Amino acid sequence: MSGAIKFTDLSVSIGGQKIIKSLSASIQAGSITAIIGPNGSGKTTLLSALVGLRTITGNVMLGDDDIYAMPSTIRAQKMGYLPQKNEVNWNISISNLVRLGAMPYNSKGKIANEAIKKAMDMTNVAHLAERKAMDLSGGELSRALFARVLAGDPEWIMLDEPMAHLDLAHQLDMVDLLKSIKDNGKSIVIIVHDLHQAAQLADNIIIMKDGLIDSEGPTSEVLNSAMLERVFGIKADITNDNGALSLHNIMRN
Amino acid sequence: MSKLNLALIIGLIAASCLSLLAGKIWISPFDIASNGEASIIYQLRLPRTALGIIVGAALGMAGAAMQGFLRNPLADPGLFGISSSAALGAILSLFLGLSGFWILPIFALLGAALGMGLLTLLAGRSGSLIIFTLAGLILSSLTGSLTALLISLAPNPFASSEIITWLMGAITDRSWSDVYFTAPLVAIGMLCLLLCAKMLDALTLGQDVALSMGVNMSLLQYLLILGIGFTVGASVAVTGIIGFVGLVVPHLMRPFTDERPSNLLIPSAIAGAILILLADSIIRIMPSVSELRLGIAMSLLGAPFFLGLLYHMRRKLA
Repeated sequence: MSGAIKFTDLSVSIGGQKIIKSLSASIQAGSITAIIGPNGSGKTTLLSALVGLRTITGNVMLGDDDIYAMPSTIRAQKMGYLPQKNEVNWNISISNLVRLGAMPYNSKGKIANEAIKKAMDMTNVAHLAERKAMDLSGGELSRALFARVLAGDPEWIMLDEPMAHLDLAHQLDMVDLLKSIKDNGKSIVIIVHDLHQAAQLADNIIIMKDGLIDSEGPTSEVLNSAMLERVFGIKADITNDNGALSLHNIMRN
Repeated sequence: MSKLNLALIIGLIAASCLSLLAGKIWISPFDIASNGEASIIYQLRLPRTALGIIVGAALGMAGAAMQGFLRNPLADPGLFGISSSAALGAILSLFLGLSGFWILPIFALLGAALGMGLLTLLAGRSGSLIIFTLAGLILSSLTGSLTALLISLAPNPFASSEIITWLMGAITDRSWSDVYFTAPLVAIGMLCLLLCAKMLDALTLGQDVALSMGVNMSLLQYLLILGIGFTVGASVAVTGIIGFVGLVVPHLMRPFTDERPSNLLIPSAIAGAILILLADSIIRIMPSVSELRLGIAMSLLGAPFFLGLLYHMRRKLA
């Protein structure tokens, strides 16, 4: 295990505009951390900056290593990243798509094949192996792309709204899957819009607003009515049933 | 070896045989040992065939790599401005009236090298596809206008006619020295492109995912500029501009592969060679006073091909 992700004074500017502004926090290994916040609050920019994809000021450390200084292949072995958009440019088969996930290891043969098969079983896309990417539905493709991340067996799994294209049943499956992945010792950082899902899934939450971290900490502490009103402009009752949080009577402020 | 590559190699052998035997003088396979025929084959048709294979392979693979990099099936090696830079260099030597052994190809290579340098400078280290494409467009429009300028300023009608004819591209009357000149350069270029294969596969999932999978975009960009520079630059240096091969061949091969860019490089190279050999054999046996230029023949073939593609796409969308 490579330790926590710790970012200090992290800023990202796009087109001269600061999207995220001097953020500092740390994300525990072995947990599920959700990033939530209104549209345009900087969630995707923060996640992609943590994966090493942006030009940043400040720093992002993974354990004792600087994410932006480590060789890109090593970083790719440690962190798997699933962007928000389902992008597949050529009509490749699903088995070859998932196989791309093993690329950071440059591995061929049995080990990769096993990891690929396992990833496809976990995400329920094994039956789609010979289908072509562009012939699948949005949800099926999302699952296949998630399988690609799992096939690389990274310690950190960084997901940008992985539920966006999924039907309700597969969303529930995804919640269970993410929990079991965490139980197997992996660390997950996930952007979610559905606050119910965030409440069900996350051990910790980072709440973003206007490029700043509004608050962060254990889910039960930071997910409260005052925060919902302040950050999202909504009113809701939050109940805590033996640690299982849920939201009721959600209304616009 | 995949079945596709095996089939293509058999096709290449057949096309090479056709290229050796076909022409104004048809040679029977049973006569190749006789004196006159042997010298036609060895002095004229063998270097022409070898050059056809080298140039076709170079353009086919360059096209497949370009389409993979830009993630666009309409991308063409010409888009980077390398072929027009090489052409500009070659034309400059014609314009200046310089002649001599390898002078023109060397000027063309210098043009290609200058184009590669400019492209690297313009594109910068960002590895951004959009900036890279725009840099290529700027380069090809600049070199295109300079070429037009040289034609209009040509000192005499013969020079401008020579320039225009050269621009049309051909592998007529090429010798072994052209083969020796091109082969190693194209080999280096193809090696660079093959090194890009896995990175191009990762780009299938978009630039961010490729970066997150450890692809070094600026390394990929340098390798591609070198690869396209050597393959296309060396080809243009000895044959002039032969369009459409790089565009059409990957298109033709894609349905027979898994569409992964890495799977398309070798088949496109072999199929590019076959296409050039077939086109060159056909123009040799066409009844005409002077031989049709290969560059024109390829364009003539390219237009109906795109018409077919358009028709197919319209039916698919309707």
